[in-house]
Amino acid sequence: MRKFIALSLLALLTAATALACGGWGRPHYYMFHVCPEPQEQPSSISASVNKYWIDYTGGKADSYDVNALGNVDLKKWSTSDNEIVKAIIAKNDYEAELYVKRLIGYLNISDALAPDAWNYPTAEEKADYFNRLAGIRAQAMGYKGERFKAQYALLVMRTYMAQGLYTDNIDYWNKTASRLPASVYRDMMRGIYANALTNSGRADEARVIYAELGDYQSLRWMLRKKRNLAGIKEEYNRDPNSLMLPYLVEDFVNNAQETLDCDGNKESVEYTGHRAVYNAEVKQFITFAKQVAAKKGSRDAAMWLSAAGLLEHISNRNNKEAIALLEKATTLSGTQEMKDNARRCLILAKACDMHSLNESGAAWLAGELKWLESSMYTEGYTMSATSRIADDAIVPLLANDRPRLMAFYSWMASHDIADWSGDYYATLDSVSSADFDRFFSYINDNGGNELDRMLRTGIAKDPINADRFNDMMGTKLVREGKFAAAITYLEKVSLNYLNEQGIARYASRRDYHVERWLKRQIVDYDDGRNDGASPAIKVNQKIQFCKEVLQLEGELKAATGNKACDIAYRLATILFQASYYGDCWYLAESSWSFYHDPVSPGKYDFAARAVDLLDRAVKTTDAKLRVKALYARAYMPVDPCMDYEVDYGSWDGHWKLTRTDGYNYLALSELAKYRRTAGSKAPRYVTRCDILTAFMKY
Amino acid sequence: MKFVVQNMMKALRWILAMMAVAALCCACGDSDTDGVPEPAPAVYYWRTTLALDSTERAFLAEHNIKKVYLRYFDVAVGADGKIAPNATLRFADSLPPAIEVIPTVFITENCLRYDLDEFAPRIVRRVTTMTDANRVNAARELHLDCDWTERSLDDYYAFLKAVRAQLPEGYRLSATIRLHQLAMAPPPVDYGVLMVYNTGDLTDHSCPNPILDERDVVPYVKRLADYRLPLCAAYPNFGWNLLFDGTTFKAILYGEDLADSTVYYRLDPTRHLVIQSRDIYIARGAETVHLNAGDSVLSRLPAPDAIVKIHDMLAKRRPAINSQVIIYSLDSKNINNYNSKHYEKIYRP
Repeated sequence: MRKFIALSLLALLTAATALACGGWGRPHYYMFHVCPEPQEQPSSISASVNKYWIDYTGGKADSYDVNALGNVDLKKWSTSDNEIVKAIIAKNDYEAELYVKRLIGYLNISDALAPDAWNYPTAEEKADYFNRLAGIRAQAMGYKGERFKAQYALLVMRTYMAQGLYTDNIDYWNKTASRLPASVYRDMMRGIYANALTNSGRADEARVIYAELGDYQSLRWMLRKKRNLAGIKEEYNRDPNSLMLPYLVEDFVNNAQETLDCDGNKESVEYTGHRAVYNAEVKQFITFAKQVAAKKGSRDAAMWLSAAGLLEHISNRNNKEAIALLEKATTLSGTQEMKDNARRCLILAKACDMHSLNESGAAWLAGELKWLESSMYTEGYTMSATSRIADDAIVPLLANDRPRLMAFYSWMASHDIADWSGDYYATLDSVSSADFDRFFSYINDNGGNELDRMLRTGIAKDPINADRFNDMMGTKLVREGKFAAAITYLEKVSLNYLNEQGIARYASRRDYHVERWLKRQIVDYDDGRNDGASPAIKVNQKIQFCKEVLQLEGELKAATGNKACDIAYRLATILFQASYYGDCWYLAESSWSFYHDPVSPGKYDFAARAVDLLDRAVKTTDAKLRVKALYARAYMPVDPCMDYEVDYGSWDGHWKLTRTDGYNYLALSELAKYRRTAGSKAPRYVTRCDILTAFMKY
Repeated sequence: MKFVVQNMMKALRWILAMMAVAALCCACGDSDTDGVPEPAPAVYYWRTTLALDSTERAFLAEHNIKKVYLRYFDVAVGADGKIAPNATLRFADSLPPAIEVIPTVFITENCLRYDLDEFAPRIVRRVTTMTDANRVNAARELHLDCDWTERSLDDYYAFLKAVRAQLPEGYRLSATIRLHQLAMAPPPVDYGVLMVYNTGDLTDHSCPNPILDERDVVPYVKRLADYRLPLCAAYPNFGWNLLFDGTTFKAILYGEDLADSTVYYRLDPTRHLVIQSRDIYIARGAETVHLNAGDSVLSRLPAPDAIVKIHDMLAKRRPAINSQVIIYSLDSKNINNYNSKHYEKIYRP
């Protein structure tokens, strides 16, 4: 009651309400939107109220201070740590002090009157609370100023509501509050007025107000028994032009969409505050909606027919019928929202029906995307619908046309469109050097069709200049094991560009010659520090790396005996560092994640090559090199046979042997054999290896 | 003198004989198995707002109801894991002044896992405050309802003792007794109300009357005579509409209009077929159930004769049990399930 007074029916809802970022399956990008947009969303109402006080305190207060006003002890007003109170005192603002003290008085009483509080008020306490509420109300009514006029009017209505004086609230709204200028406070008062109507047996009038206020929580509660075809029919029969119908129809269609997205899983659907709608009810709805749209003089025919059309598309997968219905819907009567909605639904159905992109199709799609662009930032539902159109229609349409698809991803990214089916930056990173080269040619080409020209505008917002292109191409080629080709691109990258990259400082503090199995170059605080010191990178490590690999591979081919073993070991060292297991993964990758596969198709397997080379190096007769190679082989992440097991009761852990075959088992066995033979002559990195010690106990 | 002595001996024998008869009579009338104190026709009121319509007021008058067991609030474990009052009664109306209110509190069984000693004083204080604040014509009594089991019996009885310790001098404490609870030791209260309903398994598609079935009651009747706690009985006047998918139970439908032909097709007076899929609300909150076309709704309502028969059967085993009869519940939706004569047969056989 205190914080979201507009949501006066919220208290009736005990179920979890919609959680935008929760749930399973694909994101909830709803296509259908026909409800008039409320002037103020409930969430923005509280945000506006909070903002008033945050601004008042010069930004010192936050929403916590606003919400905690009710906890301020009026007897300790002068020592309160609430930023709002502190600001009032500092400004010596008597008018604000009076208002806030009265508001706090009300908030305290409304808490005490909460129906399920343990301390049920006695008759005397209740009478006292009611007297105090009446006193606060009298003071609020007596306010003659302008600054807090709306807030005081709201206080009047809150006090009436706390006392259950619904008739008084209705009178006060009609005679006073409704005549105040538009503001968030007036919207809140209107919500309280709707609450009073509900409690006075005038629920039908209240529903209209909740719809106009966009208080969908309250509306959903009031219409809870009508959120289905039977309810829609009942409401339609009561009043074919009912203001509830856009809400109910929108709710029904989006529920049907959500049900399909959740593969019919009722629990998943309800998690998002929707209700599951299954095929039989959808079919009956389509029939009903067509009948209503066909009636002469049907006021919102565009809404009814677009609902039928969209459901034909998403539920029945009957695209031909869907397109026919939606094309007609765009020509029928209805509000502008309803007509725009029909057009968005038509874009989805038509784009889904395209199997290839010819000149005229591309021109149409470009035109429609431009139209969507025009309202994307002012109307959130356009963004939602565009995401749906992108995922369901355009991405599949361009799936085999990699440059265009990437350009479309870029266009989506440039408009902050949520990317369910594809992410521009991830795709840019993951595509092969050949695809990336084609994409670069595509975006630098001035030709193509209308769609191509439009998509390039998205890329222009995040251009791929020469440095970026050459670095990306070079890195991709390193990743593909094409070291010589990589050098030709990498040599064109400026050091300035490298130093602007986020990885610059980390890279400058790593050496790929370090044997990963002997020393870990740990990520520390300094890796993330950006102190504006001199450029971190003085040489392009990727070029050096490629050259060294090529040189060592060449030398290895010509070498024999211990020399070959030595080269193999050095080559294994640098290749392993460039692998996903190494500290210098940035030589071949643009990003690293625990969740990525260390190796994927099309990529050079640095670690596998390192294993081959170590197998060769271990054959050396140089004792020092041999033990290092033995140790390195036991370190290789191939068929691991030791697992660290934790007892979650005592939190004690130990290494456990999990298999007695495979590469790792054999490598550890050889290393163990060496250790037994060498005894105290074995180097410390061998004698102090805990895994080897544990292995040898088995 | 001998004559006098002989006559005195005769008189003494006669007095002793009379005393023995009197003692025998007392043994027959064991106070533990008597009826409840100050018996009167009664009803339960179990809604969240006290507001009576004309049907309900007429019922009170027609059957000369003297007591209303009025649910004040529930005590339940909240989402935050704390025990708290829930669904507190809103007093939008008042009962006729001649009627005595018995404040009633429902306690969910999972509360019994907590240390209820702490909550006993809070509950008592809340009840007395509600009574005073709303000027309720309340008896000096607290009535508690809890579906305790063997597992929670010790905790519940300890809680009852803690509640009693908090009650003002002269207050009575009473509790509901479910049929299965007759097999356990009686709770430490002044009297119990035997709930003669909810005897069967409502989820069983083949159970013809889960609300009250003689066959379900009979096994417990033998325990009645020896149950050492004053008892009265509560009989049902409610019915249930049970939703099934085939033979699988889905939900109890509260407040559904089975006459809505867009959703339900009437097969016979006790069976409806769902013909329209939809979500419906089935609880006080926002819990929903999905009706699928093809589901069936079975309407279960005890036959009036069956209630009377069980009423009489109980009386044979324990005559005082019907000294006070409570009907569950005072609600116009239920009242019209039976006619006036039927109620009188139960209240005043």
